[in-house]
Formats: sequence, structure tokens, C-alpha cells
Amino acid sequence: MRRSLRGIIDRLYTVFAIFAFLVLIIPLLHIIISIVINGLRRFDLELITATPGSLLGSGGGILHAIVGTAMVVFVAMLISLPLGFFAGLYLAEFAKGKFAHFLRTLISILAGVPSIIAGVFAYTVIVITYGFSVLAGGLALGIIAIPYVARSTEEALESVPMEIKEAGFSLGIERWKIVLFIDVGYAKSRIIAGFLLALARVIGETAPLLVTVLGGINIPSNILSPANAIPLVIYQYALSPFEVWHNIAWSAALLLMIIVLVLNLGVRYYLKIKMIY
Amino acid sequence: MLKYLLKTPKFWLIILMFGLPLVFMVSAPRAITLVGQGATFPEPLIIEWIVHFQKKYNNITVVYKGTGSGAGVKAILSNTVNFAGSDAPLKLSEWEEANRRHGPILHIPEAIGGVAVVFNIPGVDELNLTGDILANIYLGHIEYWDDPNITAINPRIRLPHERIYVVKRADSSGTTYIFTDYLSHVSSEWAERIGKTKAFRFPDELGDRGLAGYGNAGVAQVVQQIPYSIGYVEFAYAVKGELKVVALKNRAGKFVKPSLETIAEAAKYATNLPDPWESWHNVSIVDSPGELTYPIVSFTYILVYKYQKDKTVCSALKTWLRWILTEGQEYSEGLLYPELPQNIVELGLSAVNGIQAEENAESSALLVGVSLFLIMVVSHPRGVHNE
Amino acid sequence: MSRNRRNLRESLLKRLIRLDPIEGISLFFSVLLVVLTLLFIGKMIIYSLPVFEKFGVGFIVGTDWIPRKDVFGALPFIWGTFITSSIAILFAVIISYGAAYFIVEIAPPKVREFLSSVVELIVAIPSVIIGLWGIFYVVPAVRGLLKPILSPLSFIPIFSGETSGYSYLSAIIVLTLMITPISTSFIKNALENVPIELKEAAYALGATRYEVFRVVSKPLIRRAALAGIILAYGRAVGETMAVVMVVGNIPNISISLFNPGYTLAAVIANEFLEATSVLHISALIALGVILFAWSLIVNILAILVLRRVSMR
Repeated sequence: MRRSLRGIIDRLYTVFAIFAFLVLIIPLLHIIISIVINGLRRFDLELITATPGSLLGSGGGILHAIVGTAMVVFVAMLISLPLGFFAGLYLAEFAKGKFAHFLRTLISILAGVPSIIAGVFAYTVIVITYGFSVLAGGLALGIIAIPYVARSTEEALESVPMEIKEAGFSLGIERWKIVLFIDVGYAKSRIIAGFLLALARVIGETAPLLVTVLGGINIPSNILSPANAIPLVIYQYALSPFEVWHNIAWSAALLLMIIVLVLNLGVRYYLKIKMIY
Repeated sequence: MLKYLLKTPKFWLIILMFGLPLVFMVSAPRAITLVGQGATFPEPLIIEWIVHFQKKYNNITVVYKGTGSGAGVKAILSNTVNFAGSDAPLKLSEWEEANRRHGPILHIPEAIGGVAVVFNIPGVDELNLTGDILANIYLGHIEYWDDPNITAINPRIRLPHERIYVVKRADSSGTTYIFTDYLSHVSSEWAERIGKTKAFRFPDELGDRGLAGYGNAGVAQVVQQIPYSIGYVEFAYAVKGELKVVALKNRAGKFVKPSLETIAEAAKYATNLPDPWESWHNVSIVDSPGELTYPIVSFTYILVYKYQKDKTVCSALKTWLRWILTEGQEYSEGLLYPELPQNIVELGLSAVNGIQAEENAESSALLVGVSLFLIMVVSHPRGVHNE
Repeated sequence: MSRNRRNLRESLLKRLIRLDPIEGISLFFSVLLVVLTLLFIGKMIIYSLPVFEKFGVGFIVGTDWIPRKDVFGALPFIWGTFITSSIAILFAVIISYGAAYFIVEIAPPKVREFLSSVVELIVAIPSVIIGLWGIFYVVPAVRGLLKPILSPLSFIPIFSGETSGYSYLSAIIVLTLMITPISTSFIKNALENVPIELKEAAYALGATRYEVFRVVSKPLIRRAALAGIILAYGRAVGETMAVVMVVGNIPNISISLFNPGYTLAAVIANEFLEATSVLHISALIALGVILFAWSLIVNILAILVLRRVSMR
């Protein structure tokens, strides 16, 4: 090929690459800007301290959803942390052949479960007998969180350098102490980071909650109470015809974005600090 | 290992962090939950009611989902909700099925509403229509906005030569029922071909001009967004959505737009209402007489069974129903639903008073049977088996 | 009992006794997890059986979905999921390569970390928020901007018809936005790991930057890129919220991207709570099984393809 033609092609692709990058970034910026601009309208104290109010007024706040999210995510973590952590631990430390392969495959299958299906499952197990509840929502979100927790735990533990483990063995320390204190101790920050990232992932999930928690305006008190959640209330209000609710939806979205951002960036910062030594 | 862990403070911290909230969540008192489903027609009002009701009775949680009257009726027939909302009274067959499956079912009018015909023609703010023309638009016979039939009754308005996009409800809807009830009254072709129904398919004549939305909100959105469209929504949705409303010709010959006054007028003609535990399938107040009356008006009903299984649910239900018929009515007009006339409120209250927690029929039969058997056994003369 | 079985029992027992407490606990939870997962899969399959009993394989190719008449067919949703995810992944692949190339080759090295963080930020945005943005900005844009712009092309079937904005196209736009960062970060990471000597050798031979990318980098990153693309595709197939808020939710099968449609995930989310007939619930769960199987097949395909690619 002639040299100038090749140069032109190179430049064309450069233009394309810049264009592709912009195509990705510009909508992102637009989303963030619109969340901020629209969200500031109702981003006030009432939003987080009041329950829903009159349609003829400001519409109240989303305290009920904030409490609901906290409770549902709590139950989800209660379910997914032990299951995920120990599964990851087992795969990293004790895995042997067939069962390990089977377990890993199963975790991959769980990771591919569409979130709405997790909700449907929780519906058939819990809602049918105990009704719409925080427990059902927590189970659904827990199912989604387990693969994240398991995989990050496994990766964190596998990153423990062999020398440290060997040092432990050479000192005659029992196996379980090595695993619990040395391996987990070394990887602790990464494991906790994994927990927090799983939390950040499920806090924004809506689909499974649609069919498990009912979404009313009450503040849940009991694990079997129906509840609402921040992403769910965004969905309900966005689809409504009431402008009062649209405003609250944007502000709730801003709140949710801040929570997710703080979690994600917080984890990154936390890892950086912990990794320094 | 356990002994070691028990000594570690961190272990206890984790136990507390997770355990304490868990204990709280498992032992806290639970509110009684009432679940309702159905019509989107009264939904804004019900939402407002729930907000104020729960402020007063915060141990009762009420949740209402606007899924359309059809879904509400299905839900109450299979008894998966505590109460249902429907703008259409139960069909005779549905009423009989309800009675057969779960006992007497009550129709309690909770509000009156009007169905506004909304349109979106850029540059046009007012429009007169008759019921007959409306029916023909929905049947597909009238294709353009500047059709002679329409321009004839709108002399001072310039209508464009644009195709009419006709919007209906995609889901099974009581609002559709009320709308088609009206169209059946004013157009014999409509009564024959489609009749009054909660859902209908667009006639072929409409071609690709037929659109659908889910719920009153959905239809409102479609009309808001599609120029040259026409649709029907509950009046409050028209106002909230800032949609332009058609002035319909009523039975007295006047072109009337829906408003609190014109809708309330129709309620005056609601006479000879059945008792709440009877069938209401013939009740209709569309196209009522009167100069000021808006023609497309209807009650919207709460459907609830007379016999409830659970005592606490029963009394919570009665509290809720009593409240919406009395204190709740204060909020109706603010949301553009006329207040219920007193005679209808009393009709509703009498129905609510009749709701009771049933003694399980089967278990009492069993009790009687077992007692009889025991009596027979005990009183059986001794010595018989010596024969 | 035969000798073999007895030996097996003894060796398993011996293994169990030799377990230390941590291994024991881990094993317990892992088994619990396995049981939970199998229960999950089993329950879903059992609940979906009634509708297959009634319609057989016809359920999958059935085109009519009329719940009030108990008529169910999965095809409109399979079509919707297929068309939205396929076109979205097509866009995603094209954009990913370009964006990753930009980040790694064109942008100054100092901002690289920052730029890729920004791209990954999109993944962290909850889908309901993207749906919220979609309702208020994408849908009106499709109706008011894209349709008029593309109207000269409306003789082409995929661009024909009127639109309210709620359409396959809106769903494709939000899906593309959500999944592109996934494949972009995989490709970008892989590009960074291309050994610098190979690239410099190519430069020394007089290749342009693009040619180095095309001839040296691309073949080397094939495995990682494929993994990212497949992951992104799986995400698109299972995405519920953003799609249900903008796709129109009408179960028809149409070619025009401007028409409203429905996907498997969206219909389950919308109709599940209102389904009161057993058959309706079974049909929805069956759709869920189809959806689940779809992402499963995609994952298995990924493993197989990756195995082949790495063997080259």
C-alpha cells in the first residue's frame, strides 16, 4: 500500500476511536448532569426524613424506602456473606477435583441468573407462605450477591503469596489457623472490599424487589413486614403521571447514585491505603 | 477453635453487628397489611387516602396497586387480595362465580369520576364532539381531523388535515368499560359490534392508527406525546397531565366539558341502586339527562367479600372502608373527584357494617359431627355387646 | 453391601473425620449453597411444566400472548430479547474497540487510569436510574429527533412506522450504553497487557499505530475481548429495568425498530404480580426458564470458545 494511504487509514481510525469514546462518555455525562440538575429540586431534608405525603403538596419523602433498603440489604448480606465467603474459602483453600469443579460451575450458573428470576424464586419460597416481606426481598438479593462474594473471596485468597503460607507451615501452625489467620488475615482488605462491592451491586437492584416486597408506604418494622426500597420507589414514581413524584424520583436517584459512588470509590480508596503496606 | 474465637473481641463485634438488628427485626411488632388491586381510575384518590389513613392508623398498612379493573376483578375472584377496585361492576357471571367461590361479595361505591376525552392537536385548544362522532372515530370511519362531521360542529376552529391517532387501554380496564358503555348508548353500530366491555380490539378500519397505553397514566402519556391523537382517561389524569379536553354533547344537547360540577350532576340521577350484596351489573349512569350533566360518568367500586377469614384483617378492613366513606371524602374534591352523595355513603356504610369474620363453616360442621358422635358413644346402652 | 461400596463409605467417613473445623464449616456452607442452587433450578423447572404440558413445544414458537384467554406463546418475547441484545452487542463491539484503542493508544498515559475509571463508572449506575433517564430523555429523543432524522430512510423496514418513542430502538440505546463499558474494560485491559516489545518491533518495521493495533494487538487480545463481549451480551439478555421502562411493553413481533416491543425479562417483571391463573404464572416462569437457559448457553459457549481460542 502507498504510504500516504496507510497514513490516511491510521488517521481515520483515530478519528473513529475518538468518536467511539465520545459516544460512550457523552451520554454518561448527560445522565450524571440530568440526575444532578433534576435531583436537586427535591434534594432536601424532607426527602430523607419524611414518609410519602399528600399528592397536593410536595409528595413527602422516601424515609420508608431508605429504611426498607437498609433492612433488605441487611438480610441479603446476612444470607450471602456466610454462603459466599465460605464457598470462596473452600474453593481457594480446600478444593479437590470434582466437587470443586462442580461448585465453581454452580457459582457461575448463579452469576448468570437474571435478577428477576431470583425474585420469582424468592416469591415461590417465601411470599407464598409468609407474604410480601423484607425476608423475601433479602433472599432474592442474597442469591444475586452470592457469586460476587464467592468469586472475590476466592480471588483474594488465591493472591496470598505462597511464601507466607509456607512460613506458617514451617512454624508448625495448624492448618485451620493458617487459613483463618494468615490467609484470611492477609487478604482481609480485599475480602471486605468484595463484600462492599457486592453490597453496592445489590443496593441498586429493582427487579427482584418488584415481586417480593410489595412496595407500600409503610416503614417496615419486622422481617416479615412488606417494605419499599429506594430503587423500587424510583421505578414507581418515574412511571406515575404525577410531576410531584417525578421530582422525588430524580432526587431519590441522586441519593442512590451518591450512595453507590461513595461505596465504589470508598472501596477503591480503602484498597489503596491497605495495599500501601 | 471455638474457644479462641469466643475470646476475640472482633468476633463479638461481628456477632453484635449482625445479630442485634436481626433480633430487632424478628421481634418487632408487625402491622396488619391490607392489599388491594385494580382500577387506575380512582388511584390518585386512593393514594391520597392511604397517606392520610396511615397517619391516623399507623398499625394498619394499606397497599393498592393500580393494575386495571380487569386484573382487580380476577384478583378478588381468586381471593388473592383483601379488596379490589373496579370501575365496572361485576358481570352477572363474575358475580355468580364470586358468590359460589367465596360467599357474598359487596359492591361499595367509593367515588364518582368522569371519563374525559382528551386530544392533542397542536394549535387547537377547544373541540366539540358528539357521542356518535366519537364512536365513528373509534370505529375507524372518520380518518382525518378535518372531516366534515367534525368541522360542522366546530365552526370557529381550524382543524388540520391530519390522520387521527386513536388511543385505547391496552389492559383490561374499567375506564374502558365506562367509555364503551357510553359509546354503546350513543351509537347502535358500536353497541352491535363491540358493546360495553373492559377490553376490545381495534376494528380493522383503523389500520395503523390505533395505539394503546397501560393504565390511565399510560394513555395520558401516549396522548401527551403523539400529536393528532385522541384518547380517554379519568378526569383527574387529564388535568394533571395538562391535556386538552373535548366538550361532549350531552343528552340535553349541550356541549359540556367534565368538571367537578358537571360530573356531580350525573350522580343525582343514580336512583334505584341495588343493595350492596346484590348484583350491580345493570347499574349505569352514563349519558344521564340534565343540562349541566357531563355524559361519561360512573361510580368506581370497592369489591370485598362479606365474610372474612381472619378477625384482625376483618376489623382492619372495616376500619379502612369506614374511613374512606367518611373522613376520606374530604380529600376527594381536591383531586377532582366529586364527593359521594350522602345516600350512597350510607349505603356503603351499611354494607361495611355487615362484614364479619366467618366461623369456618367446615370446622363447625366437623365440631357438630364429632359432638354428635361422642354423644352417641357415651349414651350407647351398656350391655348391648353382651348379646 | 458390596465391598466396593463399603470401601467408598469408609474412605468418605475417614475424610470427614480428618476435617479441621474451618474446612468443615466451609464444606457445610458450600454444600448448602449447592443444595440451594439445585433447589432453585428444580423449582423453576417444575413450576414451568404446566404451560409446556398444555402447549408443548408450541409454547416456544407461539406468537400470541393473551392472558385473559389463557393463550400463551413465547415468541414475541424471544424475538424482543434477541433483537435488542443482538443489535446492542453489535454496537457495543464496534464502540468498545474504538474506545479502548483511544484510551490505550491515543490518550496521554497519565489520564489513562482516570479515563478507564470514568468508563467503568457507567457499570456502577443502577439500571433503574438509566431507565429513569431513558424515559425522560431517550424516549422523547427517539420520537422527536431520531424519527424525523431517519424519516427519509423509512422505506427500509427497520425504520418504518410511527413511534411514541417507546420502542426497540430506545431499548437498544440504553442497553448499548449499559453493556459497552463491560467489553471496553476487558479489551482495554487486554490491550495494556500486550508485550511492548512486539509493538515496538512492528513500529520499527514502519507500521502505523493502527496497523500495529490491527496486526499485533488484536490477535493477541482475542481471548479477553471475546470474554468481555460474551459477558456484555449476557448482561444485555438479562437486563430488566432499563428495558421495561422504555421498550413499550407490547407483545408483538415487528421488524421496525421504532415499534414498541417486549422482552422476556420485562414481561415477567410486569405481569408476575397480576397473574392469577396458575397457567399464567407457569407461563411467566417458563419464560424465566427460557431466559435463564439463554444466559446459561451463552456462558457455556463462552467457556468452549475460550478454550478453543487459547489452544491456538
